[in-house]
Amino acid sequence: MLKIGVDNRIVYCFEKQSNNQSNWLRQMTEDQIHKLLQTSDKLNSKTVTLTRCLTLGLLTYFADGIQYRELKNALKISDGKLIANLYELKTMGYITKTEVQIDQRLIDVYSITEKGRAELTKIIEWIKTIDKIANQGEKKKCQILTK
Amino acid sequence: MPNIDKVIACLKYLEINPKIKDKNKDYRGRFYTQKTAYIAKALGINLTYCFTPYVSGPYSHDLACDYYANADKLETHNSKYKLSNQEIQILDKIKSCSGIYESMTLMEATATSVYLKKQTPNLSDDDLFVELKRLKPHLTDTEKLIGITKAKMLLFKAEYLTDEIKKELTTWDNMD
Repeated sequence: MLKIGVDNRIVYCFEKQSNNQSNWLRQMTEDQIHKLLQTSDKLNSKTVTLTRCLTLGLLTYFADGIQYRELKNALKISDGKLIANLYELKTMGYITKTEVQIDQRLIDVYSITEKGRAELTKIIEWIKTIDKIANQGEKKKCQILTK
Repeated sequence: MPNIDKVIACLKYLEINPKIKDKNKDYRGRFYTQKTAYIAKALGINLTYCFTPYVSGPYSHDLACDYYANADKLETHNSKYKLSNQEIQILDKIKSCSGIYESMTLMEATATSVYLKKQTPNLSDDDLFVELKRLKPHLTDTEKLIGITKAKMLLFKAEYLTDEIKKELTTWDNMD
């Protein structure tokens, strides 16, 4: 029996498997949980917020950078909240800000740095590990137990 | 022939020289590369890039990857692709659309309006304006209206000008 204190439903599902399969799955889950806890330590907890993850995600896709006004429209948050988040990401070295002249106006354009890209990759890997743990065992049985 | 060669040939014809190597410089050049490629595709030049209208659109991530990977080729306009007569006609049409290469906001409004018109051809002008306002709230009403007009000019086809319409236009021209 796994004593992980995370999800007893997974354990219940393992008990229904054959012995060999059960051992293999148990080992796999232990590895995944170990990996999840290990990678959590390596993550910068300041980055794992909705606004910051979204900002990094968008800046990764729009490789040329995003204008401040476009980012504000996309995230639908106040200027104060957006500026504070962008400032924090910039201080951590994950994004850069450049001023671009668009017609007669100076507009701030934000781009992701290599460090920011690496941090986002870590977050994605971490979420993938959570996904693997959450979806282990027989899905149908897990769903029944969740009800 | 790779897509990027076609894009380089188009940029060469339109005399657009983006600087790609330094990512923090020449936002303008890369902006015009993206929007020109989209309008060229919308008007009939065969490019397989997918464009999204959201946030910074119309924008193609694949196109961005291609021009960063071929920065030297793009900066020196090095392309073996030979534009066909039909493609030259399309590029001439884009070139003659005055103002879009002088004002980035106008280019943004025009390219987005072309996108919306291509996605929903039956969209009324009022609905187009509302949708454009939703996607690009930072553009002024004037910029949006001019952008819509420019988009209509770009998407106008010679076959739309029937004898009946020609006659009516001549009547209006000969008034007073």
